[in-house]
Formats: sequence, C-alpha cells, structure tokens
Amino acid sequence: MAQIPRLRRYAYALTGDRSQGDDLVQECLERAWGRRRLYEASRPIRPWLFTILHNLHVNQVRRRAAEPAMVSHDDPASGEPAAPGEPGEVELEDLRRALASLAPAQREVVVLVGVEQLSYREAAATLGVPVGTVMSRLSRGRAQLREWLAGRDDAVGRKPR
Amino acid sequence: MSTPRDDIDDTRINAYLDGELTDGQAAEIARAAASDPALAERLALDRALLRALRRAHADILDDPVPARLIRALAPRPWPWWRRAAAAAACIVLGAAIGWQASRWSEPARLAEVRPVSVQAAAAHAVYLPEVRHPVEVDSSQRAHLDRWLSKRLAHELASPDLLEFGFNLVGGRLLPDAGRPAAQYMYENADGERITIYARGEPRAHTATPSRIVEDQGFRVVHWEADQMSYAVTGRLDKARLEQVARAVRERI
Repeated sequence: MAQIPRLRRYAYALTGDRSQGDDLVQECLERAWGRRRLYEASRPIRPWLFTILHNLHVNQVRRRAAEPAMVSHDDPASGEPAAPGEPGEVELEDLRRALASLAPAQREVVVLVGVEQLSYREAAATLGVPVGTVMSRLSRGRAQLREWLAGRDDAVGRKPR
Repeated sequence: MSTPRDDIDDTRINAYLDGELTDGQAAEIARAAASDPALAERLALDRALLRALRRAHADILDDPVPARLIRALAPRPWPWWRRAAAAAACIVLGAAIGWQASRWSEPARLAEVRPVSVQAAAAHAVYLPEVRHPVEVDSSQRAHLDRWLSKRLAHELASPDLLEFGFNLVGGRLLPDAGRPAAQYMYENADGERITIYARGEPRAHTATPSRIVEDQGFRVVHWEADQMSYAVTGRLDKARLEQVARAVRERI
C-alpha cells in the first residue's frame, strides 16, 4: 500500500500518461497479489514490484508496437509548441515528451536511475540485465535527452553562467 | 555533444552524477571539472536535466491514490484470472474435472462481494485525504443527507451524534459496493482526525453479530451486522477509543 505512490510515479514516467500509468500499476498490483506466495518476505518489496511493473510494460510496448503513436489524454499543452524561455509546467511537459520519445529500454533505465534514484545494481536487478547494459543504455538515453535540451534555448537548458 | 576529456567518458560522468563512484574517483572528476570549463558545463547541464526529470514526475507522489488501485490489493477469494489459470491447468492435465466443475458453478457475483471491513477501509482511504470534496452532502443539510441515504439503502439511517468524543459530522456520500448502494458518513475532530461510518445492505444478515475489530490498509475497522445491514467504523484512533466510538455509533445510527 505504501509503495503505490512510487509505483505510480514509475509507471507515469514510463508511459508519459497518468491514466495509462495507473492502468499499468493496477495490473501490477493484481499480479503481485496473485503471486504473493512467490514473494520472499525477507527481501525488500519495492524492487520486486518494480520488476513486475517493468515486465508488464515491456509486454505492453510489444503489443502496441504496431499501433499508432500514443496520445496523452491529460496533456494540457498537447500540440502547442512551448514558448521559448517560458519555464514551468509546459516545459516539463515537453521534457516528458522527450522522455517518451526514447527507446523503451533506454527510458526504463533513465527513469529508474534518474527519477527513482535506484543504484545501477538495483536497476540491473529490476530489469534483469547486467550492470554494464544499464550503464550503456543510460549513456545513450541521456545523450538523447541532452540533444533535445541543446535544441532548446530556454530555462531548463540555460547554463548557470 | 562531445565529451570534454578523453579519459572522462559519458559512462564516468553518469557514474559520477549518480553517486556510483568511490570517493577518490569522484574527487578526481571534481578536480578535473575545476580546471576544465567544458566538463564543468557538461556536468551542470546534466544536473539540470536530472533535476527537471525529477520535477516533471514529482507531483504524482502527493496525489491521493485512486480507489481502483487500492481495490486491486483488496483480497478476493478467487480472482477471475486465477480461476482461468486453474481451469487451464486442469484441462491440460485432464484431471480433477469434477472438482473444477463445482468451482465453476459458484455464482460469479458472490466472489465480487468483499467483506464490509475491506470496503469500508478502501472508501476511508479514498476520501480521507480530500480537502475540498470530502463529502457529497455536507452537515449543513444533515436531515436531507439522512433521508437521502436511508432512501437509497432502503433502511432507516440517522447520522449519529458523536460530539462527546470530539467528532463533528462533516457530511456523507453514496458509494457503489458490488453494484449496490452503500453509505459513508464522515466525522472530523478539532485536530483534523477523521473517522468514517460505512453502511450497506446485507440481505442474508438475519442475526446481529458482535462487533469485531480488524486492521486493514493501516486503519482500524470495527464492524458488525444487524437488521440485514452491515456497518463499519474506520479510523486511526487507538483500539479502545475506536471501540468506544463504534459502540455509540451502533446504539445511535
């Protein structure tokens, strides 16, 4: 129960949409409940839930691969270009879109490490990949976000000097 | 964007920003950044990006959790997919068909009706954090609220007076419970502590049961059945106090 807000954030960051994210969390919780006997109480519960959510997301991405691009339903700025230099919500919305444009495997790592602040080892365990893979995906994912950032000349990207 | 120094690549920079380096390695990067403006700029850019990423996904942590997610964790004796899985396994093995058939013959609706304590705790969790819309009808229309809920539940309900415990009526609302109407009254004390009373029809409850206390989702719930109704009083009060309040509710509702 206490894990739900973190799961929601993870799912939101992965899908870029709150209601799609909550769908994912709901499926995750139902699955976790069904598999609760497989869960070893001595282990921390969050990585276990994150792994279930990750697997569901991978399946979903696979299913949706053939479908047209997802449209965000709770995106107030949808379709409107953000005004240059205008900080705040519109711009963060833009960043969420940039995140959504990453390859799913890169997005997972960028979110787990960057937003959820998991260690490389924890992220690797959650995704079931070697730590080296986490590091290379992270490099590629962040490079793409940097490119997106460099293509903008507003507050998020403004240099401190 | 090219990396500022050949021996400090993207992977090292990331590991530095993510706190994955040893203290010695981190100090080395910090030293290098002090004398390398390109590296310093790159680090600042990456840090800004990370901060923005976190900020872009911060709000959702404080949002009230949607009811459907809380319900997803409520115990259900036989979720449909577990039945489906069990059925599939049985067919594959070609075994225990008669036993399975008896499972199938259980009316599906019965599985959907969850214990009143579970429903009450879920509803409590949903409306507890509401600041602006904790109730549908507030206490200024108390008589109307009681009439309305009594009518919908086809049972005489009266919002009990709990002033001696320091609780004032906030109001109430109608809720769906397995396709049938249920009622929730909410009370609040001067400290902002909230308790709720949950009531629903229980057609098979012909005899009154003693009040029982359970814990669910971090709340204490006192529940009982009487007059073809089931009731629950939910809150975070200590056990003795909640039981005291529930006794008063049982007498007065």
